[in-house]
Amino acid sequence: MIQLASVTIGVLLGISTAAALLIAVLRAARGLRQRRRAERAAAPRRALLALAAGGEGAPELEAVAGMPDDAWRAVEPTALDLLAKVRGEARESLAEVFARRGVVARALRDLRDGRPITQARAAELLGRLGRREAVPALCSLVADPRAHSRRGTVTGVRAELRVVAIRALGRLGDPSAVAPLVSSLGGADPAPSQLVAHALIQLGPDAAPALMTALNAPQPLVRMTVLDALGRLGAAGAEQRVAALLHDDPSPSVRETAATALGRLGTGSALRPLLDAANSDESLALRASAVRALGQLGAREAIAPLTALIASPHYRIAHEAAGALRRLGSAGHATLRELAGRSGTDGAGAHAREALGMAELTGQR
Amino acid sequence: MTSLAGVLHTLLRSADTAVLVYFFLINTSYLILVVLAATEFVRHRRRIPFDGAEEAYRNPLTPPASVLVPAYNEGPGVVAAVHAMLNLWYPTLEVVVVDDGSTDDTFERLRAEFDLVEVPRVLPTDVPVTGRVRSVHVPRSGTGALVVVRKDNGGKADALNAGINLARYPLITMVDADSILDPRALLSVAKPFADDPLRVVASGGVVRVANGCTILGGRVVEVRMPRRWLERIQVVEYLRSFLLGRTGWSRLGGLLIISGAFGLFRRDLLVEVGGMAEDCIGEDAELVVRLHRHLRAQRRDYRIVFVAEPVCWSEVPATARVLGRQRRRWHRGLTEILRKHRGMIGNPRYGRIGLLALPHFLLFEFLAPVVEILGLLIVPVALTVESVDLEFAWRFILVAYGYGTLVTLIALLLEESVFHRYNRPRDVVSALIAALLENLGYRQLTAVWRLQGAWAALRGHRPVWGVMTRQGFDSRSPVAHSQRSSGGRHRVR
Repeated sequence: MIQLASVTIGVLLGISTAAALLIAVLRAARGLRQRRRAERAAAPRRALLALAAGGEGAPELEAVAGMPDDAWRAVEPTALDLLAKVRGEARESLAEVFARRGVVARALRDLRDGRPITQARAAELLGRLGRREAVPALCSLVADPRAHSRRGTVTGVRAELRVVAIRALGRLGDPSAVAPLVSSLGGADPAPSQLVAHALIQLGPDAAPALMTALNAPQPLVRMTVLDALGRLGAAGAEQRVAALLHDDPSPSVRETAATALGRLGTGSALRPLLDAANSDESLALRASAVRALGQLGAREAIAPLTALIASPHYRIAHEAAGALRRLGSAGHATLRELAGRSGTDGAGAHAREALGMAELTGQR
Repeated sequence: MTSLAGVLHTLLRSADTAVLVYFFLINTSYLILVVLAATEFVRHRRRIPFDGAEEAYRNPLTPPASVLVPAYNEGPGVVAAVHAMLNLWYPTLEVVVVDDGSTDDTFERLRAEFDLVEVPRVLPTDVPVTGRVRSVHVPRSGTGALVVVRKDNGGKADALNAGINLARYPLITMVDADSILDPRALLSVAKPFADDPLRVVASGGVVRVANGCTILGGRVVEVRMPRRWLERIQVVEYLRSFLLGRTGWSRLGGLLIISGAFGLFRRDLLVEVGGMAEDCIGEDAELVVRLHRHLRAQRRDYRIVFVAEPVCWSEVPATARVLGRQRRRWHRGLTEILRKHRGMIGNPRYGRIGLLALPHFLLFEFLAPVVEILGLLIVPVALTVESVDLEFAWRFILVAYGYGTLVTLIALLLEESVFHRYNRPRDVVSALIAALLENLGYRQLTAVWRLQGAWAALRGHRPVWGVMTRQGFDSRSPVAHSQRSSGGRHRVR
């Protein structure tokens, strides 16, 4: 027993000493590496910053595009950061540097590399550089069925690659990406819906016709995401279809999202469907969304129904009705003042006073 | 007589062996967690170049978040803390400060700094609140994202419940008023919600030690080791237990604790489970266990995750007296949670929470001080009655503590290779020495305090609330400690 303990102590001491030494070595090596990198990057970094400040055709473009490989490696991370921060000619110059140094060609190759981390880095870079020739390959990554595999609680690396590809497609803004983006919401492990919705919004109004078609998808998640995108795009001509979903869709979540989208689309034809939803026996969440959307429409016809809704015993309905009246301008405020004048612990009066208080602070009165 | 002595010898030897085996098992379990954390860190590091933080910030669909800040007598630091939280890098957020009946100038300072005015507000009653809400205040401009609630003192859990009721947004983060968040911390803990919106229900951020760091404008601008060894040891302890331990548990899907200093939750679920429990001193951990219980019972597919970086910085006790009080409370909280949710322990209905995480907490967290103290008592007794000889005894102690030190050193190695927050070589040396010093008195003292905490919980003593150690963070100099008393129901944690 004593011998075993002695051996164990020896082993523990050995490993502990090795761990302590390794920490010291890592620390020293890191310091050395940082100093060397800083020295190597100093001059190229100045050229890079001059390029970012100068614009296309500046002599710095040639200097950066032609700098030695080790100098470029030292400033490449800075160049990538700058790419996200500059606009206009400076951005185009930077993008040209990446192209002339062969970075774009390499990234396009890497996109088909097969190793998810390499592919993800390439997708990120091409998205930032705005290279639309990457769209087909990115669409393939988004549609990759392997992205639906999950290891226990951990999101699979292919699913993460899909997320990067979705973001890149959004940045590239090519409407041909609608179908793969929408299809990524199906399957066993759907892509994150808010990322997909954001990418769809970034595709712009040209994507609206394809999105309208996607509203027929059988999956509620797809319909919700597309409704979100259509609402934020302000897609003209979508009101009727969205109103139909608010009325008919079998999923309560889709109906709720449709109410919000109708409010964002903001046309007079949305008034009736929203009033119907607000006064229905649907869930409180849906009714509250409909009431909030009524405030966004700016229609005076909503004042009377909202005045009735502010007396609702349900906090969310009454609160949203008061907020909606506040957003309806002077006529809404007059109604709120009348309600606020009511004495005692009347719920409608309290909600009205709260809304008027906020209106006063924000200068809406 | 001889046979009695023989039985005693056998018992002592068996107890020695049992304690040794226990030490081996507990440290091996930590080692497994550290290894799991290491794999997670490697994964995390490889993904940084394409983590999409910029995109999340620009995405109008990133869910808005309400930052709840319960405050009790936080006068010296509250303004800097609120400024820092309002300046967090996040698309849409509101900061809800709940002044829980402070007796100092907490509210006056806020009113003066943010030009607060009282507004009428109808308060929803989604979760129960004990302390009466006296008034609600917002900046006179009406455009700010700040809401300050004044209420009667009811304790931290009650203050958080008031904040939950007032929070407008679907995600709620709870942050201690004396905590400092890295600018991107909120966006980072919100990322799991964006990446896996259908399953993630809560996420926790890592808490690091602010003592010794240089704070400017509510931000940690230089990370340094504290000056006192007591604080340095806690830095090492936090790295091992909080950073690596919780990352490991998160990897296993068994995360049981999200620190009250920094966690993010879905508001609808907080309402669904009835908010924070006021009958439990460890309300932060209790909430997570209750969420697991609720969601497992309903067979819902969900995840509770831990985010290792960026971080929340918090002060740790600088004196043994305050540390003792803290550890008594922590262990008391753990005991209460285990007692309250004992039906989950070993129950297959609760999956890896019931079969793995809770048994681990029972065996290796709750019982650890008992076994440690037992071990410390047995060795001298065994030596006295010559049940073991000195040769074996010192080896026994060295093996037991040596393995623990090795685990800590591996944790430090991971910190240095992945995060390397401490840049000065002398800080790294201090950490290495602290890893050794932890075994010389610190562990034993904390074991005694933890035992006292468990005993108080088992006997049902009323919790003792009290002294807060705070210093305003808005200073250029490294964090040092001042101490002041408070009589309200808030704790040092």
